Amino acid sequence: MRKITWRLIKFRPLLFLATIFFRGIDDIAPFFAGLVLKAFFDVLTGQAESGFTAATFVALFIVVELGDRIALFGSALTWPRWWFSIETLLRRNLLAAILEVRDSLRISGASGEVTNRLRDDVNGIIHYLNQYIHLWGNLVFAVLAIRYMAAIDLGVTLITMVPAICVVIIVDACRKLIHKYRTAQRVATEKATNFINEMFKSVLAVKVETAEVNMVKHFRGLNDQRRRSTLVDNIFNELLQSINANLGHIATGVILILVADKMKSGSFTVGDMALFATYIGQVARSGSLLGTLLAQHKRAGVSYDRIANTVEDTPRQCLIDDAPLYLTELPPEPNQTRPENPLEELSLEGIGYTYPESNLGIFDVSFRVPEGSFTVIIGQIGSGKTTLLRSILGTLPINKGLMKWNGDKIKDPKTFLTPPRCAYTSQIPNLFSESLRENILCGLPNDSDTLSRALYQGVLDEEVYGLSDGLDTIVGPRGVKLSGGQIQRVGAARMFIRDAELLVFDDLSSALDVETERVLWTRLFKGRKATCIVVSHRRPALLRADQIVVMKDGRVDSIGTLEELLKSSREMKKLWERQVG
Amino acid sequence: MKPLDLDLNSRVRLRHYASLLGVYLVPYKGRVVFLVMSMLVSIGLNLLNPQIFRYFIDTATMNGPLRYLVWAGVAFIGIGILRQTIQIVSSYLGQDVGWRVTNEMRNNLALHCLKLDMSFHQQRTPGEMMERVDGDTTALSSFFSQFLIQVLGGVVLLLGVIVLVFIEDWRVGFALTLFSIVALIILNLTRNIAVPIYTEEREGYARLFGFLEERIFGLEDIRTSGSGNYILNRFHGVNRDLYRRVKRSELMNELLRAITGFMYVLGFALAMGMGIWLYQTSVFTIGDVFLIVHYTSMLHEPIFQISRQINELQRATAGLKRIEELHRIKTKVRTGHHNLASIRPFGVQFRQVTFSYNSGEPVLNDIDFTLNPGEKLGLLGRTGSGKTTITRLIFRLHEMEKGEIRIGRQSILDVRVEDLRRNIGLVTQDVHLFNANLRQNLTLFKEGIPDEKIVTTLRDLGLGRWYDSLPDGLDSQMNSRKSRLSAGEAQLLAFTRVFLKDPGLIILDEPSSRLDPATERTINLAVERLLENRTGIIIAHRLETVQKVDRILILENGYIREHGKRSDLLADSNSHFFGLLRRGSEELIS
Repeated sequence: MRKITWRLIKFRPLLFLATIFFRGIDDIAPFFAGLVLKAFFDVLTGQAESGFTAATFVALFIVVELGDRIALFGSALTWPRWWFSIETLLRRNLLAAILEVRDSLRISGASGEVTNRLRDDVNGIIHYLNQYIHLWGNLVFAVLAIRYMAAIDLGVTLITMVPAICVVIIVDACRKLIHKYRTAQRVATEKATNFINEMFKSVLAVKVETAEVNMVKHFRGLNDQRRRSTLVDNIFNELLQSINANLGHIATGVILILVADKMKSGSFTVGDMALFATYIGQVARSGSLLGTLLAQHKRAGVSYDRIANTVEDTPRQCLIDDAPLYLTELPPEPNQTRPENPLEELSLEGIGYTYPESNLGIFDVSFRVPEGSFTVIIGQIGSGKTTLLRSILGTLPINKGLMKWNGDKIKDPKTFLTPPRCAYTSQIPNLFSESLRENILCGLPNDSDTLSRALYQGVLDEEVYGLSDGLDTIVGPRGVKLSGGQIQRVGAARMFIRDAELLVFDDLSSALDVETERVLWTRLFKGRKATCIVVSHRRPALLRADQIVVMKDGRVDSIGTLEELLKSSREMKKLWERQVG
Repeated sequence: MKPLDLDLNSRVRLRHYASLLGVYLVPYKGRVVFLVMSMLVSIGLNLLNPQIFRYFIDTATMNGPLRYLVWAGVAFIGIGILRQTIQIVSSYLGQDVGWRVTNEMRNNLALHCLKLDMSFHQQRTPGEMMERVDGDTTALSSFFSQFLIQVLGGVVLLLGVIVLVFIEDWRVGFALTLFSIVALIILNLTRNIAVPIYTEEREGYARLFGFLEERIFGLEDIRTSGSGNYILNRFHGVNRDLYRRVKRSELMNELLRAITGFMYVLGFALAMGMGIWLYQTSVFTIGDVFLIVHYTSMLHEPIFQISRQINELQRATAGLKRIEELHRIKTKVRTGHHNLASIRPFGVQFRQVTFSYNSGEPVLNDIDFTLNPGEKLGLLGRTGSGKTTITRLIFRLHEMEKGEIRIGRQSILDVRVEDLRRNIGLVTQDVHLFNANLRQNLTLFKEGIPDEKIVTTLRDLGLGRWYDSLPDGLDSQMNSRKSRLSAGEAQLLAFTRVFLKDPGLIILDEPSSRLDPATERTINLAVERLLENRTGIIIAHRLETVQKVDRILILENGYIREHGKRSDLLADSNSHFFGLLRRGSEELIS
């Protein structure tokens, strides 16, 4: 965490320095206030000769306090700019890492849990940095105050430092516990918040099963766990805080006993007393601040690790790599360029992928996809069709074999087989709660010709023009305002508009009625230039296929045209016969 | 929670907070009383400190006995330790109460929102709901655990100081009273200035986290459509908007603190000034001056405390308003009061049912049909023709505008909604698995279903092999991303849910759409068993799905295009169904 703190400080050094300057003034102000107070009493009692009257010191006191307020206003201008930059950096970098991840299995935690990390763990780090900034001003104050007090009475001054030192030692001894309880607290919090997310994600199922009360009962249990772990995590913090508030009092008592004699003799003035009373509390607070900071440091480390470990195998430092934040200016539009080396042939050579901790997956799959061809993948449930598609696309990292593009090995399918080279529609496309247009374009330039072509190909054209808001209709979270068939066709339109050389569809037609499906295939074949790899059991697809790959138990059962396979493959026959109305 | 009498657009009045505190703190009155007591003791001790100081200074400067001075010091230490102990205990208890209360609010709010109509859920992302159920409530946490204690404590301390100063000298007492009144009035005036700004900030955060959650969930689609960079740009857009709100809110925060700070400085200067005057006119000893200055410095704490709590209150109010806004939304579904009386299997009757999502654009028009007990209805129609809507109406997930739906002889409006839903089963395409174990996923957290029954059902549905491969049986953790369930297997789990529910009417919404033919056969056997002695409505996009139904209903743009017995329609070569079959099979053959 030390390196990370340093790195974060260097990220926006000017804002950091400005904040620490303003906060520092605030932290050191009590030093001057103490001096003014001492002078006030000493002048008043005549224990000190001065050219000023006591009233002057009242005015001086006001000046010191006003200066303090002005400095705090300065920090209100710099500090939010600093912490928000850091929040943004952490969130932006984690989001970027997630967007780049090869295999979604490498993301630990459900989307709700990750979101909670982006909220609470990022906050935890900011909280720590806030304390960190305070520390410096407080230390300067402590040094000044101690030096000044020592000049008045060394022994008494040393006593005032004891409690602060104790706090630091205690915290240091409890580091492991702090780590343990903080981790437990974070886990419990993520579980509870993620469950909210899940409840609302599957609200339809919850309602039809009248499971509302049972769900909330489970939620109650998670919340209870969260409460308990948070309280344990907090006890220590609370202890420090209250020590913070009361150490000064206890130290003052000790000093009263120690100075009683000197006070009687007049070598310790009333002004000195006022000065000590003002400083002791603050010095004690500086010490326990150091203790709190040590604890926060540990916790921030837990938080940072949770954020950093969200994506497995990314270097720990990558979250704090410098990146543009675009807090006030617009980011540049991403530009798309046509790739070189257009597709002639895609070939799979013995590729395999096994799911972790299981023997399920796909094994030794080989076939070739020439440019312009139409390949259908078919097979029973669990035969590995979707796994195969995802392996090809690189969303699952193949652990055996290789793929070639025009004979050259594809080093990283995840980045290589993406638009405009390759586009994909999954079984259940995920839509975002934005307009239909946004969902289809997903960042492509808003061009009405290409849009209407994509709508036409996705057989959405008539319906869209029927909607009162047309393409600007907001589809609701995950597209809930659309029917299942519409969602799939929006997914298809999103694929078509990318104008890719290679189209990969996972059972695109499964939620479509006969008519719509027929239209979709007809339109696809009418103007098709693209090479297609399709999972389907439907006859229109099978009949038009240049080759059919029959999958069984994760392996290729047979490959050929429909005619060949119906003669040679029992599996194919079984699958085909089910299709006869 | 009973709704508060609270106008969301105007100033929140003190009595609203009081009633909120009342509603939620009553179960913890014992603790609250303890907290208040310990606060009073703590304040008493606090007020004692300056007295000891004065005694110490006056005794020392007037050359009193050393013994007394030492005792004063010991008393000081004793008070410090006592206060420390009280503070730790009450802070722990206070936090505990705060958490219990806000958890209760979270639970209530979650339950309330889950019970709201589908139209509500269609407008809000799960990520946004997460922020509203959790984030806004968390903002209230310190309100419950601290507000009462701190504000009350602040006021008591303030009064205590004033009374004690009055005892010393009425003029100083009068001046400090006047000062405190002015300070509190100003603070009260600032109370609601900041609320809209804080509300905006909270909304900005809700939007950001809603955005992030949705994108993380839909990761694969982002990647495969190559829009990663675009999503990053969008993130910056949402974030930039939040930044603007955060800056304003932080500045407001500082402004409120500055106001308190200035007032404190003025008060302190006032006390010092009066100290000079009274000392020089020999009314006060130097110990008295010290006492007055000390007491005045103690005023800082309650004034700051009250102002900080008011600040917290304003943040809490922002959350409170948003929570209250949710509680204000009521379901339009009015539950009936009878149990479903019909004997199984149920007959279903639609009488001139009309429905629209946005009034004026009916999705269903004049739907009228009867389904006899035990009959199966095949519902056909193009996407968007209203098939799904019909089934949602039976569940009362939406309320029809005109007409009547009957189950047996009862209008569904007369039946208790829970009882109605408990007796109808639904399988949709979309199956979400919870981050919980298999048992909880199948029973949806309902308790009391025997394990054997669950396992038998799983095996009956052909999931036996999959089940045996699980490491911990029914206790195996499911996670929608990591579980190696294919969409087909997930669908089978949804079937298991329905089997366990044992409803009298079954609605299958495109059930086999994602299954390959061989699995579909396994499923079909199960479906046949499920439909045995039950009434069924089957939404189908493919003609083969409706081979075994008794009746066919074809929808077109919200109207019934055709309705009748399947055998009759098949015999009539002019029927639309006949045409569909012909075209469908032609297409299959061509």
